[in-house]
Amino acid sequence: MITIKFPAFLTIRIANCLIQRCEKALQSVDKDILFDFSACSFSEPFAITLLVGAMLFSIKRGKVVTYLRSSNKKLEDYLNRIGFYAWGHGTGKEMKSTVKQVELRHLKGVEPLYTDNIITVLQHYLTLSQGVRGSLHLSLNELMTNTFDHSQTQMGCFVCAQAYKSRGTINICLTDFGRGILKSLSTSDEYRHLKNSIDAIELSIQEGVSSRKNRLAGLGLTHIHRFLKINEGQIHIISGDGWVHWDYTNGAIRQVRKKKLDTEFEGTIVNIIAKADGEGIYFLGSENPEEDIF
Amino acid sequence: MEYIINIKKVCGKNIVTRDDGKKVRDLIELQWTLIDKIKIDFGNVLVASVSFFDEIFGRLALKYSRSELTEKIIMENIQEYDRALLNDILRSRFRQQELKFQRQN
Repeated sequence: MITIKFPAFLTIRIANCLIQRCEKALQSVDKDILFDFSACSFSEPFAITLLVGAMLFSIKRGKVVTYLRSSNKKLEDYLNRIGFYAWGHGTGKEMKSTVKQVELRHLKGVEPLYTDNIITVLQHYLTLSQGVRGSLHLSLNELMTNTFDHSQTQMGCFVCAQAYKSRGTINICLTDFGRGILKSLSTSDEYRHLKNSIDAIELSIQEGVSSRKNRLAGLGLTHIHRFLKINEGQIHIISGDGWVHWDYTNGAIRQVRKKKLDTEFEGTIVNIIAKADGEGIYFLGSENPEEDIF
Repeated sequence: MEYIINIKKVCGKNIVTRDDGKKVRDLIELQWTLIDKIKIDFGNVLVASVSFFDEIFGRLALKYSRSELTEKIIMENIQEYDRALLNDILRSRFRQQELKFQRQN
């Protein structure tokens, strides 16, 4: 048996370490894998989607997976509430969501109701016009469609959302275990020249970039990215061995951090961190045909 | 009478944060009742910061009407990108005021 022990803080900051451990489990020759969460005390949506996905993917590969629960009661309660131990199947018949949290779901197709729940969380903390709500709805649906269309995974994707009052942020994470952005884009003649994951990730946020042929596509990441720029939020995209982090928390001065992961991740993670300022009002330029003020 | 605020002189390279913006807003508010026109000269520097603009003009938009703002303030040497950003911010703030007003009534 191989034991994979996880650290105390399961956050996006240590994505490299967490991905390395998950890949260790996925690549292991041992039949039995123990995921040890006993030392964990805090988890972000990123880790929740990644760990549940890695455990299910391991089972799909014929492994026997067991896990050790966290000894931290607060985290245990949280993981139960968000549906971590329900492995993305939901904790009840109805999809559970509050204004602070949308439970973890393992989606195998676009689920508009799930997207509605995410929009409800966003709307609780931000004033969104009907146009922005519609645009975000379409973008989130498109992101999910990407995981089914492009990643060519039978595994679907794992999604959950959490608002943090103390941090003033809303965190949404989508994780799939497909072929990744580079391999997906490389299937199109237009993007065959791409050689590394970081370039592919950077290209993926540009308008109309998609591996889909003869179909309108490639708007999901572009719209979300544009929204986060105005919102002064952040977006992390991890795919293959690339990790790109767009950080707009310091006004519109863009900070892009790029990192090559030590271990290649089989799939794509889109981690969205919106600023829940409660002050701003967001609407589309097209909704506002007024003349300029200055 | 006209009062000129030269952004380069007042802020130097500090044209990003809300604190930077507050410095300019304090100057504007100090002159608001004393001077007819306040000219803000951006010296063609690209600001591109929502925080900076919102702290100056977004906050003023919550306090003064659109006509009061446009009658009092003159923008000079502002980059087109910044002008568009500034107009977006102001529209958001004016709309916020409208919604607040509608909710109250």
